[in-house]
Amino acid sequence: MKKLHSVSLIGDLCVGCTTCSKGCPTQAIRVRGGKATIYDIRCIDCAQCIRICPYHAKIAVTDTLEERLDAASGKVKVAIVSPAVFSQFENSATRIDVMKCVRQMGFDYVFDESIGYSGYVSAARQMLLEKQTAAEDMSEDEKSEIFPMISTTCPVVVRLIQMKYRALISHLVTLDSPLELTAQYAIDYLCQKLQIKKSLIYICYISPCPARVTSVINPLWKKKSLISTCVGTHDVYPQLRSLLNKIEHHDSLTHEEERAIRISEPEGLQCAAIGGESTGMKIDNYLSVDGIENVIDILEEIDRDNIKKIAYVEATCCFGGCIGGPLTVMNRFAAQAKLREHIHDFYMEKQLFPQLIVREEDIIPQVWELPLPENHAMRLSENIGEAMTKYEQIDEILATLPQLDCGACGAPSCAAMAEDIVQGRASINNCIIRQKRMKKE
Amino acid sequence: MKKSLSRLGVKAEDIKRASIAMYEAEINAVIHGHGGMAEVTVHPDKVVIVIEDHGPGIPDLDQAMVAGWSTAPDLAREMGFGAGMGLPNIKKNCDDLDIKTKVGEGTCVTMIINFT
Repeated sequence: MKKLHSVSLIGDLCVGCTTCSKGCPTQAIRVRGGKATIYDIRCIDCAQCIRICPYHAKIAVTDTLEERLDAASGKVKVAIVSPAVFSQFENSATRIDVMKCVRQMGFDYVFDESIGYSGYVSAARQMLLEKQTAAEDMSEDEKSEIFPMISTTCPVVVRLIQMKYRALISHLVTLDSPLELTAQYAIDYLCQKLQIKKSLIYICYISPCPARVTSVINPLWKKKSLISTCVGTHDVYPQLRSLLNKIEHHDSLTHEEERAIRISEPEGLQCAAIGGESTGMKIDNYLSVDGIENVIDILEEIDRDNIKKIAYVEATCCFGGCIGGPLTVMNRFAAQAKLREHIHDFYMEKQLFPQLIVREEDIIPQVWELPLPENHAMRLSENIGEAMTKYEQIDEILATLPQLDCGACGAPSCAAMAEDIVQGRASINNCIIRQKRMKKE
Repeated sequence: MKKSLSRLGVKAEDIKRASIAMYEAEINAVIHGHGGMAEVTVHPDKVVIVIEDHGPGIPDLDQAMVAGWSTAPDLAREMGFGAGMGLPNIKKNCDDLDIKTKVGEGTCVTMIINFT
């Protein structure tokens, strides 16, 4: 079986310090035998551990570009570039410059993921209008089952809801991700243009985060992703940067490049930063929230039915949105300024290269192939009776623990430790404070 | 309670029903009963929630069950409570509801939510 997540550990660098264990929002990490280990079933790929590890021992496993391109020999090589990538360079590189350079790294065609974002936002807008019309005859209770609608562009938020806020699954926008929508557009475009079979197209995604990489390996609502492989933005950054320093800027494109590059309108591009998607919804009663802890707060409020009169919630795990992704390079505030420049540049691009622009109406919205399953990683047992017994045992054990939440046992808190003991994943002897107290007595 | 039920593996919709019922009963106990005690017992097939207060009691229970009927003070209404939907809402979300009340002595609401 394929590994479930792309977040991983370099064992040699891990000193067993418990920083990641204590910082994990879903308590998915334990330090065992001096090394951090992840409970795959509880990991939502938020990459908090990657950000906070002082020893840089947590990494996102992505493929390396060279290997992947070799594996794709004989196929049409397509790159899909996250809109977060365009804002990673402090020089005057435009979006089209970046795409030109991505192509020079060994691709035949390059598509901007914003294409899918603009399709997603326009379809979500339509979906919201339809639901609002349907809701006119609904009771307040029925309305609270579907509103506010919650965006599904951030896969971390979806995984969080799947596991901890299962009652909110009915609020999710049931559209396929912007990445898959872009891939579908690319495939349709190329199959028609080149008269080739879908199987001959090899799509590589340049990702700002490990969560999207995981969604390619283990899709949330479809059997198989259209993406063949993923590379992290930081992995291609040095090469891309040196190519960008060499190229002639934005005045001309070769005939080949004109055929090979496709970009979106600004509505898609602005989705790289928090607030962009909401702006595209063209409503006032939206809410945008960024940062995993803030997202948890808001989901908690929605779950308690405390968020009224809000129609749409845009939520991203990373501060600043995808431009703040853990695999990006540039400071997110600087990246946001750069993104504004790119949005501004669009009007120039539109005049120079109108043939490159994919309009939102050209995207065919796709809905979920499969319903989103619930993730029961937090429950104690499949059987309620057994879960109740375990619950009582946990309380009994917890009463004997110091409740200092020191983390020295490897669990993030005494409560988590008590649960681990009952679930047979840890021994009470791992608690050094308790051991010491017992010795004294 | 929500977190506990979730850990026990109770379905999301049952948790939601239990939380709404409990929340409404708690609000009633605070607004009318000047506070009280809540006791939640989980069984393998159901959750039993008992909210007891020693407030003024309900003089006309049938009237109190009517949607929109409210005796909440202005202060509570200013805060968005007192729409007269509390008891009807509880009834809707419970599988079994028992209200014992005596004027001048208090009210005890027992709510049972069966797990689906």
